[in-house]
Amino acid sequence: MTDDTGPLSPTSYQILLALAGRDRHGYLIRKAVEQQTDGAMRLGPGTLYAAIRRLEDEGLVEESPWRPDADLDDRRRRYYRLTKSGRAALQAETERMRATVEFALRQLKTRPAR
Amino acid sequence: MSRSYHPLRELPLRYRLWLALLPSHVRDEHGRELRDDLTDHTPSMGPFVLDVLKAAPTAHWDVLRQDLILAARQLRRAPAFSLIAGLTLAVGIGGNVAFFTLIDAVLLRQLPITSAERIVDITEENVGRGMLTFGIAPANFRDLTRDTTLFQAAAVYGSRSGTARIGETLERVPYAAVSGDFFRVFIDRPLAGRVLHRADDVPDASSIVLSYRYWQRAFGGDPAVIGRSLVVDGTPLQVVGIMPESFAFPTATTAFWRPIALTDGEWERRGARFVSAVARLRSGVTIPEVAAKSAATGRSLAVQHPRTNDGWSVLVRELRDARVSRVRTPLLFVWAAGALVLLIAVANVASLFLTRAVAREREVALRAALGARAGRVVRQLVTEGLVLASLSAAAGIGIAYWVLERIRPLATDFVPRMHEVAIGARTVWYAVVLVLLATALLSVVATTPVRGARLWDALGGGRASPSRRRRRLQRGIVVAEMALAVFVLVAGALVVRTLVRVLAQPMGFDARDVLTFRVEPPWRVNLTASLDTVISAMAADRRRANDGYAALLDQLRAIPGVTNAGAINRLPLTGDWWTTGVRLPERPGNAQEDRIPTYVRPVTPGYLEAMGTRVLRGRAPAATDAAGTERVLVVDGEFARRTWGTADPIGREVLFDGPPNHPAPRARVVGVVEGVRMSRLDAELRPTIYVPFAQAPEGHYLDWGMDVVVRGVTPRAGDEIRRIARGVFPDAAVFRVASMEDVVSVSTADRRFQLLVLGVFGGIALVLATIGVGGALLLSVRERRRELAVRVALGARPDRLWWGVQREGLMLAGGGALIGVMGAMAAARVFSSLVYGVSVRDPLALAAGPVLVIVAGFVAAAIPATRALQVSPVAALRD
Repeated sequence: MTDDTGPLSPTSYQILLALAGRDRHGYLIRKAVEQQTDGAMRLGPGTLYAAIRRLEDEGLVEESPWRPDADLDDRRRRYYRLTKSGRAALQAETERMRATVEFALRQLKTRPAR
Repeated sequence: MSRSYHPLRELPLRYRLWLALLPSHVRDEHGRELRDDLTDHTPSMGPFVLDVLKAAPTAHWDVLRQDLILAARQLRRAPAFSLIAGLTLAVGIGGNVAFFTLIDAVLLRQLPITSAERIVDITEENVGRGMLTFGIAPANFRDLTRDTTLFQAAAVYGSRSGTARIGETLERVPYAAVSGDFFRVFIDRPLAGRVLHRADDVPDASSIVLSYRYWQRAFGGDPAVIGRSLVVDGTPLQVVGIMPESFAFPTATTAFWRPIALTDGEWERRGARFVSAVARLRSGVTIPEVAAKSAATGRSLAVQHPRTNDGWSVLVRELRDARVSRVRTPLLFVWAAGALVLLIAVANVASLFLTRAVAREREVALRAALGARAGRVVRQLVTEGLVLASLSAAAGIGIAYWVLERIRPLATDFVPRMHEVAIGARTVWYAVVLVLLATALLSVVATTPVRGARLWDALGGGRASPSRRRRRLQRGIVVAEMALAVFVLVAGALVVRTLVRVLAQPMGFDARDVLTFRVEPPWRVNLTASLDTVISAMAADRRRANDGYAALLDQLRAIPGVTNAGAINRLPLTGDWWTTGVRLPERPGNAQEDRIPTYVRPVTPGYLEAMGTRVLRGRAPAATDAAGTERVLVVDGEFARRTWGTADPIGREVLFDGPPNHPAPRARVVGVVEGVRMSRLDAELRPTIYVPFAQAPEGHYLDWGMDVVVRGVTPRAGDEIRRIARGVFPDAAVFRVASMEDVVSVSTADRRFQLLVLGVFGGIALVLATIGVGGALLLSVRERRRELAVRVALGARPDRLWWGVQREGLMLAGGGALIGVMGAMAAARVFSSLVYGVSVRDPLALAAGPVLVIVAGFVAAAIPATRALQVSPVAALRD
């Protein structure tokens, strides 16, 4: 639904990021987010599925037909993957963050702490 | 859906309860995952609850945002539908909001007076003689308010008017004469200066307190006005204070308050109920308690003083109720009519939604099949209703503003507190409540097909079988609309019948081509002086007034076109100016039953002729009836009938009240004229007598003011008339210049107001109900198009098909008409306040509603009936 890549909420960003490398099911997303943020962001099931619902409605995430090896696969699980616009949104948000970080670093260099 | 299997059911209750906070579609669509997650990794309750609480609001907002976008798109996609539905709701809400605003300001909101809820109005009334809320006699007031355990303070007041001179301008201003404790009953603080105290209420009192409005208007809000003097009726009065803008009692136009300065003799009077009374209750004392005790005191006064108090009872009411009692029922009535119209509007829009729901049935079913749960679809429909209702309410408030501005001029003539009526926060809250109610009603109806949940029916087998339930519901709505419209139309028809009746009855005068204005010379008799001085002073003033009016009338008669001119002390239909009554020589006693309650009206020669009041026998007052000649009078037919029956009144005598210890003056009847409705057109004829102005001290209200009537000129002559009057009475105020037709019109303002409102509401109700019938039939034709197509293909006669649809429409309208008429018959008691001289079961009024509605039903059915004939068999069967 959204073509514009407006700022993503931290939760949405982390979920998209968790799906950037591979498709995952809900619980794996939570684990991945926890890892990505060094445990700073722990998503409860309520937050997670409400967020996935929203990302699905916004067309950034969709259900994936992909399954891992049969013996590893938990057949009950729904896997999710990034859509094209999901990847674009993640990309744009990352660029924005990088610009912010670079700007911040330059500022810190020009005016060293006294 | 609750009926189908739900994975969350397997979870412990403690999880399920909290998960219920999430939007249903999150639970529905991720139920399995949530269940698995929570079973595999059982979290502890604390973090789990926190997580749900954090996630729920955002999730709900997401849904709402989506639904709002979807709703806006939906409304844009069907602009005709949106416009009709939106306008319908806007008109319904607007009318309702307008009358709520009116009622809120006039009836519901407390007076803007400090602790007004503890102030009561005390009045006496004589129900047997039809004198309701009549005022109070000073001596009775004292006895009634003596109990200081009930009353903190009590005061009498009178609404008066006087001629104020500021510079060279003379202006007639209304003011209140108040007794010493008036500003202990009303404890509002003055804006500047001080209020009046007991010490001010003495003979020759000259202190006055200005109202804010008059201070602004006459003195430009100059704060230095305190200490200055204002000349009223030739007497300089000292301004000691200014009240705040909010303090508007007895009326919003009160210019100032001055001491009433009743004499000891006046305080002793028990039979003359010439003042009004207010009192402040002690805290903890309730109004019903005081009312009961005062009524008891009133009964014992009637026993102690039967001559003056027999038949009189005491009425104690909260001040606000007393002020608005006359308009309560008419206002509640129009508000109720507005509520009915809103109900019709909502029903209509609901019906439209339902119609559209049929068109969208497959779309909805398809969405359901593709995974959208019914709950989600319902939510979407509710949001759509909410968006529509909110937009309509915004427009409705605009409509309400417009309506109020149109009503204001008409209502100001008879509704008190109109200046307080304005759209404000409470109006908006009321509109919000209406929006929620309308949305709830719309949602219940619009979601019926979805909640029916026979989604697969709609997709598959439903191809041929329309939902019976929805059709029944829609019919029910249309019949209800028709019934409500009939109800409002019958009420409107009753008012029309009443108004026609009131205006068609003989008024006792001919209002066409008559101009009227009032002259009020500022001369006052000093009643505190000795009796002889008073009598001679009055005689001197009378001569002065008599000569003045004679000269004035002569000059008016000289205006080209004028056929006659005359004057009367109080013009008919300008207020209830009661007088105490006269006696007959056969029964000269002073007992109550010996007095004939009568309007006594001093008139100049030419008055009855100028008004067009017909002389039935004998003659009208003439110039020869001067002071010193034999005293004469003219009675009206009503007085003659009640007093002497069928006997000839000419030559009979009547006794007036003279000064104490003087023989009662008597006068001989020289003429009989037709009856005039003095106080209201919709009231009984009351006995009236006319006495020549030159002869009689009776019938005056302590002033020499007269209403002058001139036959043969239009209000355009107003300036010339003012100039003539100023020439004769340089120190008098000339005001209320109007055509007699305007006077009549103002006196019927309340009924015309009701007529306007009920007429407009009735019209809207009729239009809405017509649309409702048309819509329902269109839907019915669309649903049956296959059947119709088959019948057309088999060669059915077109007129049969056409009448088939028409019959359906007439059945709906007829059913509604029947229910509406039964409702109107049942509501006879409510309607009784609307009518005068017409039965609440007036057959013509009862027939008007149903006839209109059935005609409307016929018209409404024409389009669908015609459409039924145009059904193309090929297209219908292909569908």
